[in-house]
Parts: sequence; structure tokens; C-alpha cells
Amino acid sequence: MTLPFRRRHHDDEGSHDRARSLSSSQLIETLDPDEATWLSRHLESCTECRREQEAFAADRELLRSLRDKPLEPPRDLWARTAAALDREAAKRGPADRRADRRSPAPRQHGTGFSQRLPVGAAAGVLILLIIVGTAFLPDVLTRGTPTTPPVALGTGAPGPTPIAVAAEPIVRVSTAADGSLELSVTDIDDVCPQARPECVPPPGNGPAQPLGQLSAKASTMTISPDDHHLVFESTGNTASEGKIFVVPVPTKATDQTPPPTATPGTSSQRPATPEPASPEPTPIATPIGQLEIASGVTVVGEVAYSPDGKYIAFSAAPIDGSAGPDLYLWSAGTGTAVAVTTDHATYFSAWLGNQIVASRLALPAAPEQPGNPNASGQPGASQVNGQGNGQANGKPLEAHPTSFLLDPATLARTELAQPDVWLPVVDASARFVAYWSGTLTSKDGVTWELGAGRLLLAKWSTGTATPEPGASGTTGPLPAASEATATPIVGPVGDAQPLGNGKVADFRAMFDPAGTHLALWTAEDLKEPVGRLRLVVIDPATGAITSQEPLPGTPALRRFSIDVNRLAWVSPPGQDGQQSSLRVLGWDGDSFGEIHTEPAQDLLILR
Amino acid sequence: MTRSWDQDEARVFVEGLFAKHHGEIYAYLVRMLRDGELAADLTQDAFVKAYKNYDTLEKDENARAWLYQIAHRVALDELRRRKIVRMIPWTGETRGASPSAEHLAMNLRLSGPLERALAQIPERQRAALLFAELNDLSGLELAAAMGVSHVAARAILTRARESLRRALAAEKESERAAEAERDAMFAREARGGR
Repeated sequence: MTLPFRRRHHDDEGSHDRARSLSSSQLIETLDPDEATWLSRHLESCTECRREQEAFAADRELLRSLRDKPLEPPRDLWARTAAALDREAAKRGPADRRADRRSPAPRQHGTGFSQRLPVGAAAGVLILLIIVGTAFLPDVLTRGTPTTPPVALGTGAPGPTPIAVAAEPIVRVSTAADGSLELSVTDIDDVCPQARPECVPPPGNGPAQPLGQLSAKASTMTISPDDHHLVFESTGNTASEGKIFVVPVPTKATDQTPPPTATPGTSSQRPATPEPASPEPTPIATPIGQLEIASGVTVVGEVAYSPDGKYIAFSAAPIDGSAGPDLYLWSAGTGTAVAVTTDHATYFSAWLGNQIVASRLALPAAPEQPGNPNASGQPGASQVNGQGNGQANGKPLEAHPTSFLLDPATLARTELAQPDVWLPVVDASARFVAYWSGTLTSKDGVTWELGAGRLLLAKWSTGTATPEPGASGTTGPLPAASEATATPIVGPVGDAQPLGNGKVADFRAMFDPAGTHLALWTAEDLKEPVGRLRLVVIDPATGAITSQEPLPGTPALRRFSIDVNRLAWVSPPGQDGQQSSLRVLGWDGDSFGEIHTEPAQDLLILR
Repeated sequence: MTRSWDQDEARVFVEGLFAKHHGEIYAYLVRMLRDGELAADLTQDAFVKAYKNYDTLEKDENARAWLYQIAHRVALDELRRRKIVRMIPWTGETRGASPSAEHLAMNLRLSGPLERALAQIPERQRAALLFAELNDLSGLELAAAMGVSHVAARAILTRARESLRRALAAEKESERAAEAERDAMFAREARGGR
């Protein structure tokens, strides 16, 4: 039940992004031998990446042509600078003429040069600022000492030091004044390390793309990795209720957006696009190129594109509630989504590279009940749809989950070795996994929430790793269990670490691309849209959860987005009497900082 | 390891820095701010800051990247200040009553499609491109000048190249549209003249 990682974070698309990054870096520095070899091999087989490399080189030449247009400084620049230096020297006075100080000069912030304070006074102000910041602005976090840049030039270059955010812009949907939906992009370059609103101005949004009056179930809305298509389930009292659509994102220049069959990676194998099959009248305007990929169902959880944009996966149950959810797969270029399970008890979790991770609920066998044709034969069906035996004696149902990987191309299934693993989410490098370990409970057999168990972080075994000779399973906090077994297993291994305590009914987890930061949203009540969002920092060497808590549990809506060095979420309305706003926590090493955007209505983060 | 601050040493050091680097610092600030006069003021500020913070430079061989770090922060502070006070976006006008010949010449230098494309990309990305391609900073120097990790500097530079390509494409498209409009206008005039 999570959005996919960005395509560039996964095996296929991630390798293209790495190639882009290395092609860019190669223009200014010598790559490591490993990087150079990898890039060379990748470029041999990737025409598009070769073109990108050539384009980078061409743009570079263009940029360097600016050297032919020198910008001459004013002739009196030295005279002005020398006078300013003289003034500065005069302010320092003769006492500073040769001040062999043991400590470096206090850092000067701001642009004014006359605001000098004695060291003691400056320290007092600094302490006061820290106290005020801690007391009144708990959301703005600075952990540990400010990081020295990895390439330390000096210890006190002047000026405020906002934390640079290298991640891609945030893609979001909001409601316009007329009630229609708008897609917009928020590019955040940096966040303030301290509670200084003047450090970084609120980020602006790019021009909004009107999406029209889509009756979309917000939790199902997702966007393709290339930003060209939106997927959503229709909702409301319309003829389109219970239908899942793929629609092109309208472009400004033209409405000639190709139909969804143009999803990247499928151009060479694109069959004819079926016409949208909607014989019933619909009260809402049908966007050009809209494709209905499923009908008569409702999405359970979230819809997610594969990182390469070739597939969409989701779980969906019949809209009449007659059965539980199955796993659906839509291949770009085909007409409709296909149910790839039939147990009515399978829930999509996430993509791991280009494999689907899903979980299945297994209930104890229900006794035969007269007049209930679904009571046997299909495990979980009758129970999941609420017609089973679980609530006959007034006790809640309890189900044990199992999880598996599914290759969307071959439908080959790999069961996870460990039982009671629910909705596992694995980091892009397949080192760590976050999951619910335990059972699920339901009062009605339809809606399931987390039961007895814990949220855990563990090492992930791909099933192919060879244990290192002599490796000890007790040296780190997460020793690999595969060391103890001859047959490599797939799934969580070793001693897992708990991801908090307390009641949890629902959760959503996502790792950053490096697999060192885990964003974890939890809710205590399934009916409550507001939960708490934490950022868990993982030591990449040991896999241990560090003691850092840059975001110990802020109120947040369920959708969030995590990328290279930032986490973005939407604060719920009503916090401090305000509307929702987009909030971003950025980090660089051990330094963290936060920024808020202007309040907006019905914000939904797509990526 | 820091050095102690000595006024004479600091002065000599900054004079040397100025002699070597003031031109490139000024050019960088002009391209960041698109205002020659302001860039001159901020170049001066950057060297004064270097003088005041001379004792924070750890190694002389890092002086150029350290100076760029100072200039970069000066530029970003100015750009932020402009946003905070909601100043009208830069339009090519100077702060004087009427533009001088120097300013007109400067505006001309900054008015090409590449300069316009550069102006459209986010400031931090613009800085990364200028540092890397016009000032020949290496990856590590770029990271230092921008005050970020090496990995982050690489990511910003890659994004910058992608942004520039998009901005250049938009510039070309805009030029094509303007050309088509001009052609259409001439055609209308020609028809009207007949």
C-alpha cells in the first residue's frame, strides 16, 4: 500500500539515472575506476544514455562559449573594496591588529558588517536563540553539530547555511477555487537549519496544470514515472463509480497527448489501444485519451506504477463487497487490468525493482454454513468479504499473513520464507525491509487492521547472497540469518529491530534511495486520516537504527514522499488553526532542517 | 585546524586573492544576479567577508573554492532577500534613474538565449553550472563551494544540466514562435500594401 519509489531508484531506471549522473560528473572530474567501467558498459547498451551524454557535452560547449563574452568588472572595484577593507580594519581597532586568538573568529551572519558583538555577548545571543528555537519551534530541527562540508575549506565561512535539497521537485494535486483539481510542482532547493524564517523563502509552485473536475478517490491517485499519466478510481454518484482510469496529464501547449499506451518502454510493443469502454452516460467530461482499465471494483490500498512505467499494480475488490481483494496488473499497451490472483485475499504492498511485493491473508478454515456457497474452496473469500464465521461468536476475526514476490512478466511467484510478514517494503538496494510482523484482525471480515505484532526493520535477503566465510551472526544488530542456513531464503532475515511501540492500526513505509532513511507513517485508527510520520535513520554499515530522531512523530496525512535527501508530507488541517500545508524536512549528513509552504486546500502528494 | 587572525596577514592575503580572482567572482555574481552594479557591490562584500574570516581558511590551496563559497552565499542571501521582500522580478532596469551605456552593454551581454535559459533555472542549479563550466571547479571543489556533500553536488549538477536543456528547448521554441509571428505580420502587411 505504498507508492512506488521513483523510477530512477530502481534497478532499471535507477541505472539510467546513475548513468546520467556519472555522464554529468565525468565532464568535471575523473570518475573512480569502478564508476568509469560501469558507465562505459552501460553506455554500450543504452542508446538513450549515450544521447544524453552527448547532449550534456554539447550544452557544456555552449556554456563554455560564454567565456568569449567576458564580463568586465568596474574599473573602480578595487578602490571601493580597498576602502571597505580599510573601514573594516578601523572597526576592528588596534587591539585586533595582531590578535593571536585561540579560537576562530565568531561567525558573522547576515550581510551587515557593523553588527559586531563581543564574543561573550555573541555567545549569549546564540544560546538564547537556541533556547527560543527549542521552546517555540519544535518542528524546526537541528540535530548534533552543524555538519562541516565533506570537503572542509574552513570552519567559519560567513552567512546562513541552508541545507541544500538535491531531490527532484514534489508533484502534488490540490483543489482550485472552482473545485477542480490542479497538478503542480514544488521545487525546493533548500531548507533552513534553524528557526529563521528569513533564511529561505517559502517555495513557490510551478504553473498549475488544470485537471478538470475529476471525481477521483484521492487515495488511489498516482502518476506515471514520466509524469504523463494519472491513474485514479472514480468515485461519487456517477456512472463511472467503481472504474479505474488512466488519463493523460493535459499539457499546456496541446491536447494531443498520446493515449496511455505511450507509457515509456512500450513503444516498440504497443498493440492497438482499445477505446474506452463506457457504454453508460457519465456526468463528467471525459478527458481526451482516457482509458478505463478496470470496472466494478474498488481499490484496496494504493495504486502504483512499476519503476520502469511498464505496469500498474493494485489490489481491488468487487464494488458490491461480495469478495475480498485480488491483485491486479495492468500492462501499458493492453486494454484492461487483469486479476493475477483469485483468492480474494491478496493485497498489493510495493514494487521492489520491477517485481511486485504483495501479501495474502490466510484465515483458519471456516466451518461449512448452510446457504453460504463461498464458505469453502476459496481460502479467505467468505471470511474476507464479511460473510464468514469470525463474528458469529462475537469475537473478532484473526488472520495470519504471508507475503510473496511476483514477476509481472512471467507471473513467477517467490514466497517469502518467514510467516506473518505483512506488507513488506524493501529499500531500493534490497538491504533492508520494513514490515508488520504479526496478525491482522477484523470485526466485520471486510476491513482489516493490524492485530497482535510489531512493526519491524530487518535485513533483507534476496535469496542469492552467499554468506561470507567466517562471518559472525552476532556482530551487528541485524545479523543475517542466511548465515545459519544452507539454503538462501528470500525475505526478512536476522534479528529484527522494533520500529516503535504502541497501538498501530495502519502503516505506510518508504525508504530513501540510499536506504539509510525510512519514513514511517502510522495511524492508531483506520477511520482516522491523520497519523504520525517519523523519519528513522539507519546506520548503513550495521543496519542499526540510530538514536537520531529528526522527525519524532509529526501529525501528517497518509501520503508522503521521500527522495534523495528530503521527506515531504502534508500537515493535516486544524494544526495550529491552519489549513493543510506541504512540509519538507531536508538533511545533509547529521543536519536537518524544515520548511513549510503556504497553506492550501486538499493537498495530495503524488510524488 | 585554523590560523590566527592577523590584520596585516589578512590584508595581504585578501589583496592577493582579489588580484587573482576578482574578475571571475564578479562574472559569477553578474550571471547569478543579472545586475552589474549589484554584482560589483557584492563582489566587494565577498572580499570583505573573506578578510574578516581569513582565520577560518584551513589551507591556502583551498582559497579559491573557499572564496567561491563566500561569494555563493552572498549571492544566495541577496536572491533570498529579494524574494522575501517580494521585489519585482529583474527586468533589465538598473537602480538609477536612467540606464547608463555600461548597463545597456551589460544587458546586451545577458540577453542571449543561453543567458535567458540560465536565468530560468533554479538559482542553486545555475550556480552549479557556472562553477563547473565557467570556473572549472572540480566535483569536490563544487561541493565545497556550494556547502554540500560531494554526492549532493553531483545530483545538483545533473539536475542543472537537465534543467538547462529544458530551458534551452523552451527558448528555441519561443524564438520559433516569435519568428512565425513576425513572418505572419510581414505577410499581413504585404497583403495590406497590395
